[in-house]
Amino acid sequence: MTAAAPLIEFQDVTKTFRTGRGRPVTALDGVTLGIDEGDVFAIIGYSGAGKSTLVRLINALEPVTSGRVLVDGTDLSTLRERGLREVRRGIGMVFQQFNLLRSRTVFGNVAYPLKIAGWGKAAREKRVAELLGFVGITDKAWHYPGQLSGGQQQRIGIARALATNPKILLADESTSSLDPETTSEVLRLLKRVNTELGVTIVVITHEMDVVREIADKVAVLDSGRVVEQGPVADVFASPKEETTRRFVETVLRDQPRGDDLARIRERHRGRLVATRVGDDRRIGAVLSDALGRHGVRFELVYGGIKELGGRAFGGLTLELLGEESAVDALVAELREVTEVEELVP
Amino acid sequence: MNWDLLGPVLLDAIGQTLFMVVATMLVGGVLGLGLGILLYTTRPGGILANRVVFTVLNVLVNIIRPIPFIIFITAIGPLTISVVGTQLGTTAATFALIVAATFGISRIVEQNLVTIDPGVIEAARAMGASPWRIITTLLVPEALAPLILGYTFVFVAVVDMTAVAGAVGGGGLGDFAIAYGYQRFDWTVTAVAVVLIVVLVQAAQFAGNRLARKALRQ
Repeated sequence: MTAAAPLIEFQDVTKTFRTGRGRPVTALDGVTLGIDEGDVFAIIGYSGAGKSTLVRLINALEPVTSGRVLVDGTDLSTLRERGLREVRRGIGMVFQQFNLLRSRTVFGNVAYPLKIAGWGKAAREKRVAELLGFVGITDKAWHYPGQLSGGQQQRIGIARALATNPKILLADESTSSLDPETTSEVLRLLKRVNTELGVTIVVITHEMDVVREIADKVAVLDSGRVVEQGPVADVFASPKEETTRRFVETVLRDQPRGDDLARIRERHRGRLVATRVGDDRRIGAVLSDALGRHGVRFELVYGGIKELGGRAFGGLTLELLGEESAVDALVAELREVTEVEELVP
Repeated sequence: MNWDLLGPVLLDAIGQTLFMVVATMLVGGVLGLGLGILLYTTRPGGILANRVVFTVLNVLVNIIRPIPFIIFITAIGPLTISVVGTQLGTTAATFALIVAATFGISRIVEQNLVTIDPGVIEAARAMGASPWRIITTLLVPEALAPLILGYTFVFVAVVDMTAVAGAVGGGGLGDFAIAYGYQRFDWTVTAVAVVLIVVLVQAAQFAGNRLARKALRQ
């Protein structure tokens, strides 16, 4: 815990929606979390987990049902509509579908929040030029959004969200409708917003790659509850909940299963063991040693290593070839440095 | 057709029709826009969501809009007398036209606003925009092209409705065609009135289409 209070704080927040005559639906249930100034904080969950609702409580687009949301020390439920509008002007928001005004040019879209905030014409023009330079689309200033690609539209969305120099940027599935390459570009831009401008970013996503590429901290949301939260590396190094484990697996498919496993087995007749790889798990040393001492050869048949939250994560599946007893001895040694699972046929 | 006799009458009729149409489109257009925006913004989930206001307006529009204009123009008589002072003549007819057009236009405005992506409105709210600002700088500009086409459609309907104004002595081309054409078996007079109305409608449709295309160009 840092000594300073978090920039955004959820205290036992519950949100229910009334839908017609049906029973009220609970979107968020007892959510408590803190987002520190300067964080890139990811909130990951499957669709329907309550992510979009959670982010909309930060800029009070939706009121809480119970509990408190504090932004920069202010309890949002104590503010009236006029006060909330002031708070919203200090929080930028980026959307999955970009939500640009089709009747305005790129320039007009980026200038729009400045108009709302009451900036003069000259100041607006100067600021829009700065912003378009920052996101790299100066040459498209007089185009209409409909004439631009998704990636370009999202850059404009980001420029618009940053116009009034907000301390906080909310990104609601901001890359979910973009192709992988454009996604990386937009994520790099968001990272720059954080490092160069010092903006605290809250990223809502269902994609682990987004968390992997830009987040420092993460909260895993499942059925309206935060099931795990903390620094990205810590949460994903030792996932405690099934939901978290499933998300980790989407980027680190470290064990062959089903058809994959069957195909590998056809080609590799030796004993197959799945190992976990990480910074503190020195399996390379054990393996290179094994060749000499146990007379066991090995082949790498599946897996990979990726970086997550600044640490190495992954899994390798090995085919071990040698005397039965020697292989047993090697597996025992591997177990001392990491988790090992034998993939028995 | 006797031009010397009917020429001045025809000119008067053209003037009356133009007056009724223009006044209705201006006053009814603005009132209808306001009522349509209220219908759209007060509906559940709208930026001014208000169940009572929405229900009252919605029921009111549903009651008034389907009444055939020839019945409406006579039924509204008492109100016309209290506002205009008489229920006869062009001004009285124009009053009824404005009321009817306001309700008709409000639905068309509402229907066009519904097509705006709610995400864009949410974006404006997230920027701290007030409902009034959202209405003036977002709703109307974003729906401008369909609104222009909607108003063009209404213009044609209003020209149609002015023909009924003759029923309360409102004059206009419709009245002219009935009084001097139909009732005197003079097909030429009827044809002249029809041609003039067609020209008026065509001109309006042409202008509306051009304006809408201009607004849509993005």
